[in-house]
Order: sequence, then structure tokens, then C-alpha cells
Amino acid sequence: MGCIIAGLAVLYIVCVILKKQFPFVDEQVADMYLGFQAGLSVSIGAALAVGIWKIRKALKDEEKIKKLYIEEHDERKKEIGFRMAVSGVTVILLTLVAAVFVTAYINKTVFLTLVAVTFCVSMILLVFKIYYSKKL
Amino acid sequence: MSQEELALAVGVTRQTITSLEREKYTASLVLAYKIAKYFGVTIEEVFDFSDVEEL
Repeated sequence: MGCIIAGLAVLYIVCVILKKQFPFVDEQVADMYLGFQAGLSVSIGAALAVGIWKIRKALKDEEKIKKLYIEEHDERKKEIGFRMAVSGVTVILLTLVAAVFVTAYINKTVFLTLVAVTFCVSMILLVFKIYYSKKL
Repeated sequence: MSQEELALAVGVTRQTITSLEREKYTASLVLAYKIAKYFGVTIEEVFDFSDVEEL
């Protein structure tokens, strides 16, 4: 637990140093960035802490270890994760395409950014499709 | 026998057994084999393949 807190503290210090060394164009963005970074770090830290707490609790009881192992390796849960990923990526991609069409009328920078993101997501999907087609 | 006991015996969660009973989830071949083996019967005796046979 102490390692997680120390890691998060180091991460936050690194962010503050980076912010000072490489100043942002906009001070407001810099503050938002630090807030985002802090929020993300705390969320990851909390998730890790809960995970460690569950494992430490299970380690005291053989039956709980087995149940935890089953929960982690349950085939229905894996299937849910797989379907969630497929549906999620499809919706994300469709939303991105819709956003590209809308932002073309509003803002050039946002439009170009979204086109680049759509292209990157599509390329990543293509690479994974080729990879798994050869692997399976 | 409870769902929990069967789940523990075949290495899945109770929710998976519930989904199988409600026909919301199709078991993998490995899980079907484990369940059949646990009851000491064949896979065909545990699962209904009438839909597949119609194809």
C-alpha cells in the first residue's frame, strides 16, 4: 500500500517538475492537466489498493483464494469483457466519424485532430485484425 | 446440489451457472465437458443440441 502512495507521490512531483520545465501555452490548460493527472493517478491508485486488499484478504483463507482465482478466470466474465470491447470500439469509431462530420463545420483544429484520431484507431484495429487472423 | 457447489466444482462463478440454466450463455467445450464429467454423464445428456441438429 505504501508503495502505491509513494509511486503516486513521485508521479505527481514529476508532473509538477515537467510543468515548470516545459511551460504550457495556456496556464488554464496547465492547471487542468495537473488536475487530470491527479485524478487519474488517484483512480489508478485506488483501484490497485482495492486489488491488493482483496488479494491480501484472500491469502489468509484457502477457500477464498480458490474463489478469487475462479472469479479472475471465469469464462463468462472473459466473454463479457470481449463483447464489451468489441461493442465499445464500434460505438467509439462511429461516434468519432459523426464528430468529424460535425466539427468540419465548426473548428479546423478539432476537425483535423478527430480525423487523425479516427485514422489511428482504424489503423490499430487493422493491425490487431491482421495479428489475430494469423495467430488464431 | 446448489449452483454454488457446481460452480466451485467446475471452476466458474455461480453467475455463469445461472446464465447457463437460463440459456443466456453458451458454455465452452471445456466447461461443457467438466459439467458432464462432474455428473458422470455425456455432454449430450446435459445440454440440448436440438437447435444445432436442425441446421
